[in-house]
Amino acid sequence: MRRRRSFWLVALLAFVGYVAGAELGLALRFPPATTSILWPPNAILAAALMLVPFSRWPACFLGTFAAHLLVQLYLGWQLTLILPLFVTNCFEALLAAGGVRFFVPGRLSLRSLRDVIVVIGCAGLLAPIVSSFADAAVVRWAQDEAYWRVWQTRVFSNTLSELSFVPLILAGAGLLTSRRRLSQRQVIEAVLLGAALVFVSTLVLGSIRSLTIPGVPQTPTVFLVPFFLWAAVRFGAGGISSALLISALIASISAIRGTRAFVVLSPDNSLIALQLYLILLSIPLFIVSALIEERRQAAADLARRLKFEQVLRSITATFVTFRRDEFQTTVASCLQQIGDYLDADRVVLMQQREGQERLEATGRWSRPGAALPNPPEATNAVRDHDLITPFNLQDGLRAALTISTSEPRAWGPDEVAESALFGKVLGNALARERTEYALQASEAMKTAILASLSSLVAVIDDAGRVIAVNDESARFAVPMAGSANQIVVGVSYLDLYRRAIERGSVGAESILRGIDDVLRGASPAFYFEYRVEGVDSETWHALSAVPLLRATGGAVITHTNITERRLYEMEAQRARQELGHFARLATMGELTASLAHQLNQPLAGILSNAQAAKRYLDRDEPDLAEVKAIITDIIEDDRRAAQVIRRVRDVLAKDISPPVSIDINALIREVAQLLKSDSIIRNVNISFDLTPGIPSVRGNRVDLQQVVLNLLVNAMEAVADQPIPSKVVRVRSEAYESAFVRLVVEDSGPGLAPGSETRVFEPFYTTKPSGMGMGLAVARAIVESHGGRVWTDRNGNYGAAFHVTLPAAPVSAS
Amino acid sequence: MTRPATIYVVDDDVAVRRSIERLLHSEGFRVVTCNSAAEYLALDPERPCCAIVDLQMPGMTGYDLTRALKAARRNDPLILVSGYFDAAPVDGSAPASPIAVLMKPIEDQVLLAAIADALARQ
Repeated sequence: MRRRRSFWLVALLAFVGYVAGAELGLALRFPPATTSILWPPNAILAAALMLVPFSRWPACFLGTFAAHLLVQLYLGWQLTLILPLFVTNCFEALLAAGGVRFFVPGRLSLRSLRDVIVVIGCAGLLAPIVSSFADAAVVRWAQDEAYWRVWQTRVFSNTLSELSFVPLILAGAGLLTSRRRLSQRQVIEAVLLGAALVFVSTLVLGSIRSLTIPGVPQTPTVFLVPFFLWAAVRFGAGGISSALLISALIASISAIRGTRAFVVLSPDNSLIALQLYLILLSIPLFIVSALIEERRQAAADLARRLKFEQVLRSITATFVTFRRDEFQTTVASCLQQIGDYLDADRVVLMQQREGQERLEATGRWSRPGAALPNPPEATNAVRDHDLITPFNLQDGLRAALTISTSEPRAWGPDEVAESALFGKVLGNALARERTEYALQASEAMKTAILASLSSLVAVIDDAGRVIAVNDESARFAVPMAGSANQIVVGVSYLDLYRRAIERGSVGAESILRGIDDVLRGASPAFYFEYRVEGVDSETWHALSAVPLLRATGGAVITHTNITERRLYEMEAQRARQELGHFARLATMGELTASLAHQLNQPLAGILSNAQAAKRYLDRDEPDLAEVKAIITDIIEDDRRAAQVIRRVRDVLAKDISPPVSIDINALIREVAQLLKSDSIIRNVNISFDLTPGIPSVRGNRVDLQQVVLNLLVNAMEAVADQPIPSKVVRVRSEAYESAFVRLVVEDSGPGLAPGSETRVFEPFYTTKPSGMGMGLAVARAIVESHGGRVWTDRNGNYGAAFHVTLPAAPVSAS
Repeated sequence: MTRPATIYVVDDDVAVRRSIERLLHSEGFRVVTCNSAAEYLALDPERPCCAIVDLQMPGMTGYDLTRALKAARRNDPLILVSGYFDAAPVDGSAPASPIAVLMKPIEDQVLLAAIADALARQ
């Protein structure tokens, strides 16, 4: 519908223009001559063809054809004349418009020198001259007028018409389609110029002949020159066309009235001379006006570019120095600069946030008082004349700069390009803001983590100088290194310990060596625990050094207060000892009868010996040799008794002595000695298979005695229900897996219930009505605290075997 | 008392064995010592006699010995001694012919009285 309407509109406009032009042209004829002095229809048609798209050319031809028919039939002309004349008119318009469109394929602008020359060349000269050959032939043939006369008249009148109308129509159309309006002062100036032209033209081309420059014949037309120049300089091609039109009209009217511009010539020659004069006057002026316009345009472009560069520089500079907390205001001020520069009413910067589809306004500026209907956040509320510049941020996120005006506005390519550059600068700023934010966040996170640590963390470089330290240093005692607040950036950590060595601090040398090893890469980590004696308390600390993972090396040193952990450990150790003690008491309770027997043996010996000695002494001749032997035995028995008591005390004593090197075979024999009478009472045959020369183990003698004791008692209890010859317990010792010593206690009992292999080591797990169920649990706790392992399996086809492994003590050089 | 009685001392503990042997020597008894029940069982004791047997010995205990003698239809007079608090037989079986069960350490009067009792029965 719209296309069709525009078709008929174009046709109608062409029709009206052509009729008006034709009426004007016909009115300016010298009857009976067919050719007019000024023939505007061709120029109007040519201008129309230059303005409308090619697809509307048929509309133009249709409209003008109807107009042509109407006008000339009305005059009573023959169709044989009318139709060829229309063809020649169209030919002229086609030549003019076709030439212009050919040489200026794009948008035609009378501000460009090239376009003006093309218009003058094609429309002003080529088209009238070439088409007039055909036109003159038609008139010669139809009306029988002189061919060259007709040709001449037509060339001049049509050239003048083309020069008067085409630039005028083009300028008018340009004014209509562009945003530019004539200012009030320009309108006043135009009216003044028009009035002056009418007045001077009437004066010069009319009847007043007294205006002459002394010594110059035929001077009046010269008076037109300043006014044409005025029009050219101030109003460009359109101004010249208007001036031409006014002068030509007045000249034509004057000529019809019989007034000649050039009195020495015949009226028609005078008119032709005037036409020639106007044509020759106007063509250089057209060129001058285009030159002036181009220069003005260049100056304006330069000014605009300078302004643009200034705005761009200002925005860029703002973002180079912006502070994060002022980002919003910074953005707003930049948007204002952009808005002012582009003469817009609102500028909105939108960006897409991570994880969101829609863009959100990051910053906005509106001209105070500007009424814009749509909220800028609504992306779908964009109006046709909003200038939207999309651009990409990092990570594939999108952003857009939207520039709006209250009034509809056509944005030029310059403005689009400038907006794209603004977008690029803003995009960089947004990206920088995001990076800055991420940097600040990660920095803040690092600081927070360091500050939250309950440890002193110091980062040192490869030379041992502190390059960073968390500010908690005051909370920590860093012994040997002097007071804690000495650990500050720039201090050599190694020097602190070197001075400590000079002061004779115990352990400082180990720490220095450990840190140095880590720094040199000789060791992957270093750990050291130390005790600090306070005024009324003691604290424990751990120093740990690990390499700093960066090319230049360095290390991270941590001092942690481990007092609490230490206290827990000591508490656990104490609890374990208590438990062990309790377990030993329990075991001893079970062994009481056997111990009594062991003690009663020497006591029995002593008593009998003493009573025998008394009898010998009571004799008349005492056998002193026998008495002496008896006393020797008594002493020996007494020692035996004391030995039994010492063993019991040893086992029952709470032992917190430091670990010592222990021969496990000797330890087994000691325990066996303790159990000897018990095994006799229980009728259990305990045999030993101890491998000589196995490594020692390190540990607590009493604890390990307890382990062997508990395992043997457990084994003896396991065989309790077996017939006497089958009550067998075997104890074996051997080296195990090169770094361990293994102790195996095998019994001939019923074996363990399936699935109870691990449960037997749990506290209070027992299968005996009288047992506490602590023996094996205690044994396991002790073994594991010595770095060893206990487990159980079947002893061949019958009974159970309990295995204990303990780490072999390192072979000491000393 | 026409013939001196022979007292057998059966104990695995040499010190105890020797001290009792000395005591009995001082009373004029003939003393034979055995360091295990099995050794005594292999003997044919001369009469009149008495055996002082420790209850807790490795291998064959004092109670085992009483059962073995019973099985061999021997009626040797036995004095059982023990260093263990509870001298009652662990398996509840009575000894073949217990003269006495004495606790270590043994008072000489008690031991001699028990021996006298044993010898008097023969």
